[in-house]
Amino acid sequence: MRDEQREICREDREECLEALYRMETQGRTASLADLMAEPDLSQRPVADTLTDLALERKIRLENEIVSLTPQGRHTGQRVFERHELAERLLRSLGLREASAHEEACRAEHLEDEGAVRAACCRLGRLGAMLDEGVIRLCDADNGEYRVVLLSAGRFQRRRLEDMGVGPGAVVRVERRHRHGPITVEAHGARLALGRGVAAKILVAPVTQCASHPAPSA
Amino acid sequence: MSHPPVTPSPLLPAGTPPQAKAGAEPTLVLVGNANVGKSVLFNALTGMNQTIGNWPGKTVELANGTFLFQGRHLRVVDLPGIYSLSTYSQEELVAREFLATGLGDVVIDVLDSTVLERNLYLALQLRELETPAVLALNLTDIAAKQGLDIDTELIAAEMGVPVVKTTAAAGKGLELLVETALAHAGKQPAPAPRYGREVEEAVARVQGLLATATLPATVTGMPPRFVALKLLERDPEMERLLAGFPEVVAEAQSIAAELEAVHGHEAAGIIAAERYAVAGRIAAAAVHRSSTGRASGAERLDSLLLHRVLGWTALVLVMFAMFALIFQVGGWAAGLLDGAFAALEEAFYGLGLSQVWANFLWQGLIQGVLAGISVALPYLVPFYVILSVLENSGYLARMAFLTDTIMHRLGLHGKAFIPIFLGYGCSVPAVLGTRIMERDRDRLIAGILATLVPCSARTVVILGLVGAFVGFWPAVSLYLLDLLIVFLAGRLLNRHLPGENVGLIMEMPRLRNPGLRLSLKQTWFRLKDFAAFAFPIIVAGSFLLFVLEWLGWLQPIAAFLAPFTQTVLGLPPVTVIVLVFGVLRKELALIMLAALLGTTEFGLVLSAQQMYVFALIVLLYVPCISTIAVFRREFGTRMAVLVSAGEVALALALGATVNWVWRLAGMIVG
Repeated sequence: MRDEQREICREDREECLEALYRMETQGRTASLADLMAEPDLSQRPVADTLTDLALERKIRLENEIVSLTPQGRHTGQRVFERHELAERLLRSLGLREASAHEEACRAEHLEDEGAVRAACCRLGRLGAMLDEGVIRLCDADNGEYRVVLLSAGRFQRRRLEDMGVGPGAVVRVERRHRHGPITVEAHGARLALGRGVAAKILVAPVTQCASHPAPSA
Repeated sequence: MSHPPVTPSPLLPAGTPPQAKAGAEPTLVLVGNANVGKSVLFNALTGMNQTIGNWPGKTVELANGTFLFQGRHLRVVDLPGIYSLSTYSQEELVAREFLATGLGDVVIDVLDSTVLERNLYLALQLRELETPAVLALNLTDIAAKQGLDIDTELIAAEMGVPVVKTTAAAGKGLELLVETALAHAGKQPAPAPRYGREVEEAVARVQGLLATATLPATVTGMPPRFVALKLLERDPEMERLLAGFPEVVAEAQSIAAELEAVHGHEAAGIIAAERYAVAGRIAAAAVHRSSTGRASGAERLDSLLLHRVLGWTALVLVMFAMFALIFQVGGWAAGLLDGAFAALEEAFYGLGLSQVWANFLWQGLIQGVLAGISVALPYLVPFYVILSVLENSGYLARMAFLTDTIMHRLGLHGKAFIPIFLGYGCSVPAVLGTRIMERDRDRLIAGILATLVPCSARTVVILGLVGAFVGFWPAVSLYLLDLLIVFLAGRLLNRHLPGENVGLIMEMPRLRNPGLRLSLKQTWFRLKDFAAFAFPIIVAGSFLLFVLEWLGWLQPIAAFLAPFTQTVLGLPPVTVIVLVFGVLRKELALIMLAALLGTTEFGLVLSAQQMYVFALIVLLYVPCISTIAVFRREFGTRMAVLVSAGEVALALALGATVNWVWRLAGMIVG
């Protein structure tokens, strides 16, 4: 389930990774609340971005503490250095950072304690799932998977459930186009799912030794 | 989006009182998933006694027909293809409103026998409505070919309604189907299959809750179990119907929350999973695979059509063939019609009517109709046939699959490719083609983008003016500029229109023989529908223009706007008249321009800059009147006005910008 209806964009990811990298170099550990308090992230859907990043294996979630994987650190460092350079250029042009505005955002964002706690809880659950080998359907190779969670908006969730791709359903990935849509078989019917849709379906592989009999191919 | 209150009367075909139950003309209602052969069944039953129209106020196709069966007149309503009775798409909303209000005497649920499990999901939801129903297991011939042996009695016993095997394409089983349906019309069927204990307990609690309140008549007509299930699912439509009972809705939600706490998922997801569990159990028990069919020819063809490289090659070939066919056939037919109409005009003026009357009749009334016929029909007929073939063969879904990645960049999904591509030919079929998408929001974005793409009439202006007198690359630059505008408009609309970008979630139907007869039949009925809604607008528009001209108001208007035209756009004042008439038919713009300027050598009287700006404005400003008519029909009067006005503003603003940039560049260089 998502808080925000808006799509997570590249900037969201990059800002998030950059903030994590900066905090890491400062020797600080980062929790969700810490990240939300970061001025650069104040206007962004932090929890959902972290969900995506965790699924992309750019970050690790452990006991509400977020840390970078080597892959994520690489991106974070790159973005950080790029920003440093841009900032130096701007400063040499005589521009000053508008810090008052960011300070205001920070104060505003931390007020909703309940929402932060709920997001923490969700991320914690996600961390546990990732340890059990949960991946996004768009990253899945051909084969059988069980749907664990739909991290999609309301309409999309309902549509997927109606088409037989709800939590608990077994789907078989048949065809994948790189950076494109996939086709899956669910309840004997064949479906096409856009890449964005497949990225929001979290699945766990159905192991061969499972009691569930494999449907005839 | 606001829905009108559920009033049964407008949903039923004209001339049928909503209370018409058994005794008068019994009404059969066809329901089913998309691609199960429902339209084939409908056509097999009704033959030519049918009409295709729109659901009142909705852009959902409504087909209804009549037929004579064993001496009785029967009526059939074909509901749109749906996967569920949730109300997240127009189709589902329309179907549910129709079914839940108890219109029709018996429901015939058409199922694809080869995908029984998924099809039973909808059947279970229909059973929740507790209306008299028959299940038609269609496509039994294909199921037999695949080595599937289906136990209909077991399904009938489990589902509580009769089951009949049919092969609609060959007309098999239809008589038994209608007989069974009539025998069960108006009779209370057996109770619906039950779901898991926890869900049923929650349902019982909500039902108890409902019993304590005096509910509105719109809800009391529905079975309490259905209402309870929908409340647990937090169905927005049901919550809207019960808006006057916030305490009931709140209590139902807290019951749903308890259910959710146990399962860790939303109640709607739990109930969906329960239905699939029942469907899976029934399908597993009833379907026996006697032999494992080998990969059929269709499957091998499918791998080719979906292949990353070969699939795209095939797609490009199909698109070009389609384009060539529509515009070869269309252009040829339009030429023939224009010739015939010219002869007709001559004959008309030879009738000896007084000049005033002849002008009034011809220019004011007849010309508009003829313009509509010669613009729309030659392109619409091949378009309708091809679209119908693509749809019925299942190739449309393959196209959507392949183009999904590209369209995603515009904030749309794969299905939007077709209308936007068609826009290069004619905006009218392009706007109508947006219907293949489920969501209003996606339809609207694709519809707007399709009108921004230069249609063949605008291509005539671009090539005839800029291409011929300015140069090849300036003409190409107009196309590139247009692509950029389409791209930016797509991004902008996607960001600012309310609603979620749903992405592609689509069934991939089996590839099959589309059946040309069915396509031709559908084309005929859709054309009739088009004529009925578009022609009045076209005639009214051309009449209005005639009156303006007749009153001699056009020259004063042009003179009044001259300062704007000359200074801001840098165009001669007469171009205003051309642009106004261009709304009727954009390819006329060039002919009129020649008439008003007194020469077809545009290079002598217009500068390169003027021609470029004029072509740019023609390219972008309000689509022609036929397009406005279909746009109004698909998206409502308000949207048609808004989009037309917005496109005029965009065209003028861009025209002015190009004019001034050009002028400034000229000053700097010169």
